[in-house]
Amino acid sequence: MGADNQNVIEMKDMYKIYPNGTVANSGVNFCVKRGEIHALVGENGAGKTTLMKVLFGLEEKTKGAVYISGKEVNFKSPREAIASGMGMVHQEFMLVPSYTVAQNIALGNEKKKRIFCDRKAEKEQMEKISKQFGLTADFDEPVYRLSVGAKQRIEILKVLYNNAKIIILDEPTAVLTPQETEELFCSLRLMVKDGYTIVLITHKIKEVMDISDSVTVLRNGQTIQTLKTSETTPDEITSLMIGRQLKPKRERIKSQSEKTVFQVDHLNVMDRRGALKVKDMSFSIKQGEIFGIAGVEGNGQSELIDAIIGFLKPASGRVFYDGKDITGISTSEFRKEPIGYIPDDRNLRGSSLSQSVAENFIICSHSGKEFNKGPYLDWKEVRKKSRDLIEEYEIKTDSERALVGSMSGGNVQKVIVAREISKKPDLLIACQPTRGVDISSIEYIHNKIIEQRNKGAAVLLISAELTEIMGLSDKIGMLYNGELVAIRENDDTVTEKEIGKYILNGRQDQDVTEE
Amino acid sequence: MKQKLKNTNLLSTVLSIVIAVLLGCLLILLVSDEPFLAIKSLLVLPLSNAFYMNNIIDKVTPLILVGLSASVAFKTGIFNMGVQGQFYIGAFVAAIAGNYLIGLPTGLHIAAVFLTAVGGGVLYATAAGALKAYFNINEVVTTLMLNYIATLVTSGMTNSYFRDPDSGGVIRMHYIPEYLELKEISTKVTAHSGFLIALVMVGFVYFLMKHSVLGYRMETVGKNRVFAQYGGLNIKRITLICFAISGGLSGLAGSVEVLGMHRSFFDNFASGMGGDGLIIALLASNHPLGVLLISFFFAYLKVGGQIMQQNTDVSRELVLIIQVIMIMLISSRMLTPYLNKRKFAKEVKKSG
Amino acid sequence: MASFFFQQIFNLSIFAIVFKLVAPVILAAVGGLFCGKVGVMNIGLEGAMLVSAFFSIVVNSLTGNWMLGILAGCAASVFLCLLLAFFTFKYKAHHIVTGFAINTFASAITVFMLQTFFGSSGSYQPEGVAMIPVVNIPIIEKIPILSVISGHSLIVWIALLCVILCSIVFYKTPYGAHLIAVGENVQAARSVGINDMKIKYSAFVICGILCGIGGAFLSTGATSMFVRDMTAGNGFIALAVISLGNERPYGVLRGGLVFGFANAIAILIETYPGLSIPSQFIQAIPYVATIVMLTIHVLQNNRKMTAPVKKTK
Repeated sequence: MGADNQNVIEMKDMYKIYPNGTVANSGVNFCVKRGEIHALVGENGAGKTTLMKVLFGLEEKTKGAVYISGKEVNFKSPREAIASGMGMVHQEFMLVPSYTVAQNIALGNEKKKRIFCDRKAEKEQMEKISKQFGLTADFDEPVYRLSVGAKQRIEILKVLYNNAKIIILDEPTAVLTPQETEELFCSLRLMVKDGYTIVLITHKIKEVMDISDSVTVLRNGQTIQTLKTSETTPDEITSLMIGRQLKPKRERIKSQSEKTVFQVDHLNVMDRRGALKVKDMSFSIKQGEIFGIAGVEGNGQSELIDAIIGFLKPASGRVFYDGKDITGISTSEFRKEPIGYIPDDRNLRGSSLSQSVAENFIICSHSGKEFNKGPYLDWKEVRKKSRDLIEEYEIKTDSERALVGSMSGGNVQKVIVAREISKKPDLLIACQPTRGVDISSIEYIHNKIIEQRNKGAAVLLISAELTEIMGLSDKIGMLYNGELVAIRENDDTVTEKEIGKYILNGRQDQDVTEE
Repeated sequence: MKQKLKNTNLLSTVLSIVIAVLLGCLLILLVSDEPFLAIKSLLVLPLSNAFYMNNIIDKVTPLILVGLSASVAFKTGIFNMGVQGQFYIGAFVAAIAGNYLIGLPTGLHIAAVFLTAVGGGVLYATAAGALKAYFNINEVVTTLMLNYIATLVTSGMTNSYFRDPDSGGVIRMHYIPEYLELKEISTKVTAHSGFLIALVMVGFVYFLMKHSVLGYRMETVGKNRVFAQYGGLNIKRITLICFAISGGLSGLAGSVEVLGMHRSFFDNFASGMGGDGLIIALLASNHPLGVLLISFFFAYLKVGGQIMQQNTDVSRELVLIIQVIMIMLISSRMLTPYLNKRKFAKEVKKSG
Repeated sequence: MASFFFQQIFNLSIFAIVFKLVAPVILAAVGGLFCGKVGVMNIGLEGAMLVSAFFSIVVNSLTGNWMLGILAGCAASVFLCLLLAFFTFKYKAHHIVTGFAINTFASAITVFMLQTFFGSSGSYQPEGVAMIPVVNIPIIEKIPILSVISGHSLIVWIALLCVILCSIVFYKTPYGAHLIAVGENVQAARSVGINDMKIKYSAFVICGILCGIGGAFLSTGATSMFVRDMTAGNGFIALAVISLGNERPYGVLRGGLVFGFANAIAILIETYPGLSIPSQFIQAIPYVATIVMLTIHVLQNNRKMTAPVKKTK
């Protein structure tokens, strides 16, 4: 393909090598035609986000050429990219929490009346855009109060407000429910009709088939192929993405034990601001059972976990573990029990990036008899045990002295999983255990969770990924607005759509409507 | 790989020190009428005779202790800027206990003096620690305020209530009884034996930070508070213990100065001590052995600065300026990338 | 004793003391607020004020012009703040560490120059300092009670003006919107093309100017001399005042005034005839008051945050 005017974006032979030696892109070619929705797919770590960051001027390219509407460009900062009509919706929300929706949308492109901000003129334009593309928003609400779906809409409004004609969306649906995703796609279709060009980064093949016109597959930092969506199949894209066929679904073995390991009884929890976030929640988990809690993030998951692990005092209700009442236990006491806990925030709660693998392993066990002689900590023994764990869990690292911060996300997650499972837990609490982790690590971690279940541990799995919940759980609790609105056996009759309805508006028998 | 990184860090520290000293010399050349005598006084004379060398050892003793005090706090991620205040409290309490617990058997009296002085430092630091641990009040502001309070209150006490009537123009307390004094180490090494206490404390802090359970916990809290909390560590308790140890070391430094050097509490007698402690800890990357080395270097500069001020027209504040240049160079790791690049280039050459 | 205070407060002399004490603290606090908004707790305020106090009085006595004095003070203060910003942002040194180093540097360099150029190790009291003028408002100075707003140093008014301007800049201008965004979520600011470094450095320049004015006031407005370490923790107290004011411009004004009144009362106690408390104890009152007020403030905030819990119960 030549650089004719049809191609609004053309990237030729792109290389991006980070200073630490990581090769993110090695010879990517990427072309997008005007007025199409172009899906950019690949596994985590395939180089999609890096490619788009280079395009948007957030990263500097190592080699290669970029053309926008046929003109060669070399953006040094997002400012230049925005000026040439591009906009990007990032994976993480780029919002200022204390600002109102309107202030966020206008940020960096404020309208001026003399030296002051002209908030009125700004709002008029926002309302126009909002109506045109069906992106509703309450412009005077502070952003920290918004739901994830609403934040996503603000991001898109922001891009449109900045007069972007080419819009890059980086995994916009990762945190959305199926219904919210559908709404987003409606807006995107309206935009394309109006002459906008959209690049959609995703790894969900269903979405590619649903909405895109063309699809480019990346693997290991290289372009594998660009296809017309209408001329391909989900299976073809999948095999191009991972270079092998996916394994079939796992067999589920029903637990024979009737012993209840963990029970939550009429639990109410308030967050630190005093808002009731967990409402009258009750469930129990038996030996050898995985209880999955499905729900959009921010519906009370973190408060539930914080209350269980003793970070927040519950307002009322009880928590039982192994027959003992552990309500309101301190985190120190909780961590002494044989309970594994994989937190959702890997880099802050789960690991200490500036400490070694060994130091990360012993956070719970360092005061145990194994390593401890009076006040003296036996580092020799600690290192030996750490080497064993590194081998057993196939963690890729130079040595047990390597800093965790120097390792990849998947390996860090494995360090956490190894630490928690080596406690030989009879209860495992896993929160978003595979978020942002490469596919082989996801599979490894899933297998480890199943293995624990089969060994007789009770597992509490909290995830926003419906496929993860449905693939692993024996029972599924649907979480909506702090309540478990339904609990179902995970059998063949459960569908993604059904769960989606529960976790989006708390009821099964009603179609989704705008809040 | 890690070893190599460490070496580069060490090299950059040494290089920073050299550059800072050279810049100091340059400043002397600019302002002094007799620059060569000044430079000689600053850098050569301190090592020229036994008197100055003993002087260095006398000066290094409190520096090691306040350096250790600051490094324990920094390692736990706590900015205890209040070393100065804790030092004064320790010194003041030691002088009071030395002067007024008369009648106790000698051994008991010595023990009482140290215990009360260390206790004073511990309590004074833990006050800020408690505000931090229980109410989450920023320790930087409170400890800085506590420095002023300690300086003024001890000064007021000494001026108004505890002043030795025979002290003439100097504002100080009575001299402590002779049996409490820290004796000379030997007939040759005439520095006082507080130096040995400081060495023992280096060993203690080394064991604490590198080989103890508490040290692991403190470091983990310092590196990642949230992780430590989710791992089940009791942050409040560790914060308090850290303040207590840090304050205790500062208090000990104060008492050693009183018992070994001054034999009394003088009004505002060591105003730069806290700052020196913080700078030493920073330059030593909070490593106890590093604290020992850097303290020696500082004591050497201090003695040199004094000789320089006596002999020439250059003020000893120059030493402080050199120290600040050092912190700037080291804390910003300005030189590290340059050194790494060179090392990298060398390795490429070797392998290629 | 009560009647003594009543008298003092009634003849309004307390206000003159309060404003004089508070003006430099508020100036530094507003400056520190700019740095705070971009995410840096600037403990170098102290050093910035100190160098300004030194250079302003030196230039003032050389030229006989108070404006040139302030300008020189500001230049020195801005230089120090930029140095701090440079090490913090460019070389990622910890800002508490560099701030501390800056303070030590300021203290050392002023004493060093004092000794090298003026041969004094403690203070410098030149002849012919042109004091920063006092604003006497015609008519009003004759009206009883209202006269309280007359007769204050120009800097007192500038401090007040700075609080108002700061509020307008923060909440009404695009620059303020960018500034706060950079501090709260720098990625968000960058993603819409805001040059975060420019914003950060500009905040430090503004901080330097404000500390410069405050420092100049100490040596050529409130007094006419330079004394070593004469800022005496004013910069640190400014940091406390920032937290007392919940990091808002008018909050800083309020926090500063509360602090000033606590101080003024201490000074009144000191001047109470026949009182035999050592003066050092009285001088320690501002620092004790700062800790106490900070504690009360945090406790109140904590209560506010948990207040709704009781309601819903």
